[in-house]
Amino acid sequence: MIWRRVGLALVMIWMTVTATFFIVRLMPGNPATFELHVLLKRGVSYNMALQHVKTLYGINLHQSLLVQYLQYVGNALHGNFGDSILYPDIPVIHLIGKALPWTVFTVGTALLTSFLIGVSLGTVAAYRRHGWLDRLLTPLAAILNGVPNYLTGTILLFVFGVVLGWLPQNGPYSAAITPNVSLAFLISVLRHAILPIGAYVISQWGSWFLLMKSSTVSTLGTEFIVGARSYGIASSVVMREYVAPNSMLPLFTNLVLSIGFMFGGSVFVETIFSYPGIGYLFSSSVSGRDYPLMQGLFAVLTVAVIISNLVADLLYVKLDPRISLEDAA
Amino acid sequence: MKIETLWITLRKRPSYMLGAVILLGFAVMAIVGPMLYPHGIPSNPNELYAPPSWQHPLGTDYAGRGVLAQILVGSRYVLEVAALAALFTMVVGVVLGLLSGYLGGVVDVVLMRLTDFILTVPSYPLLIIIASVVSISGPVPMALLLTLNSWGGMARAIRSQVLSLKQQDYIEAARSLELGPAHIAFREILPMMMPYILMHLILAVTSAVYGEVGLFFLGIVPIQSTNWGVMLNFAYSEAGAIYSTSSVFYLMAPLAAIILLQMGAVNFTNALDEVFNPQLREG
Repeated sequence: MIWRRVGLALVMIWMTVTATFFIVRLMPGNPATFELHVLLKRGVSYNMALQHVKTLYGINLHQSLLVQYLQYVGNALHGNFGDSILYPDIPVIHLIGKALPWTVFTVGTALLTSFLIGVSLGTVAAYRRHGWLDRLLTPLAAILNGVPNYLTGTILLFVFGVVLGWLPQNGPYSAAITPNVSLAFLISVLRHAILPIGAYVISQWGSWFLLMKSSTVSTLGTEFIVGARSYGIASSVVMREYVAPNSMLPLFTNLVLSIGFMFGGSVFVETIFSYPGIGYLFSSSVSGRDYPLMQGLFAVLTVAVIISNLVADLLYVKLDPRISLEDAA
Repeated sequence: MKIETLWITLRKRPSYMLGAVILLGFAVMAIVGPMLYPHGIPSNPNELYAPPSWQHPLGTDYAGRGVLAQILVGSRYVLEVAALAALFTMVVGVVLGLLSGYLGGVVDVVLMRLTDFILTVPSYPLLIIIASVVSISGPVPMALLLTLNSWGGMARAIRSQVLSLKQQDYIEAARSLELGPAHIAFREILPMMMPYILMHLILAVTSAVYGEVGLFFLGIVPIQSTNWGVMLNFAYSEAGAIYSTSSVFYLMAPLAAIILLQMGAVNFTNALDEVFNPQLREG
């Protein structure tokens, strides 16, 4: 069963790599041929131009589509997506490697923070239904749930970065500081990360809150909780050991699924704050028509998401013994 | 659904009524808005970033154009695309979900693998890539692009509804009457899901608005006319308005419009939920 899941993930990865190849290769006025024509017009010899396009895109235009495709897949398997156009002569994979830690840092922190906030507030709201906290937070969460992060990001930037001037407006750290292992650098990095992280958290916590609330409400109604209480187990222990773990189970799949969603959403937040992660790289590759970079980023993003989904499925079976991989599939 | 029932439910809570009024307001805005400025929005170089006044209730932008006027005029494109996208999403999602859930077997496996794939691929990057290679013009291609991103969740949800409805006795009865799969799927199962579909239609409109405004915001889609996303994009790129406190109205107006739309949609769906699921009614 595990092998079936792994096989499915591999098929999906293959589909992604194939799709990125064909998007760039087969679209009308595809960039590789376009580049070739531009070079030919500039008076570059045909062979030189072909060679140039080949290093840029990893595409040999004079070969058949099948050969090109196989070469592309072979290169992609080695992590070779050609060189960037926007950042000349730098391999795409190096750019991605440099950007990835920033995104993992902000997105990861934001995901955990919003999850913790949503889960704890959701539990309280479920325990005290129709209490003031519930009545305040439920409509708020319903409105914020799904509000796009470019909206929260813009508001945060404007209020805290521009009007109040409390926090830096963009960049990963202050330009005056050289990156090293010092407290000043660390503080600068953290200060610059607060607003991007805040943008994710504000647009995300609502969905965790609503999920946790409804999940806890239904757990509270089950017989084993009533049983645990009737044994005289302290209610705080029941909450911590019985209610919370069972209510959090269904949220777990969503947690891993939202990794992909948030990585995708980083396009907006990182563009707003000029934060040098995957998303910023992606939007600059799009506006700069840097197709090799775009291709590579998309493939890496999707593969990362597919792998995290696979890990989630496997972990979920471990966490909840009632579920088998067949159910999860 | 009877209009009367809806009206009675709406009157029960101010928040329900508010939701309905907001959505109605946006619909009217989209129809009437552009008619108010048949010759485009006048710009006045003497009134850059003017504060709110009677003439410009939300002030002006970097070119001296009224912010409120831009919101009104821009609403048509935004809402037209969103409504179309929501409609396409429903049609694709419902048809594929019905086929997958009702027929089962190979069809189900193939369709669900496809759905898994589209749900897995990071959605915004996919939209952005496609928008950057295919030139998008007009509301229909834009709506189709947004649909690509959203049909998966709908198909999945419809499929699971179909799977549970399929087990019910009246479907068993229909089958024993040999009513045929098309009849059962579209005449027996589909009507039962209409409330669910209708509610998700409204939420699909808001998420289409987010996606659409986001694409304009990033400046990927060719800009043809004023809309909320274009306003946001200009606030960052053209005028650097984001870094100046005087642009507060220009920057916040499209955001406020989006939040207001979301509020309306959430409250109105809550009202619909109460109409369709009477057991939810409290007191």
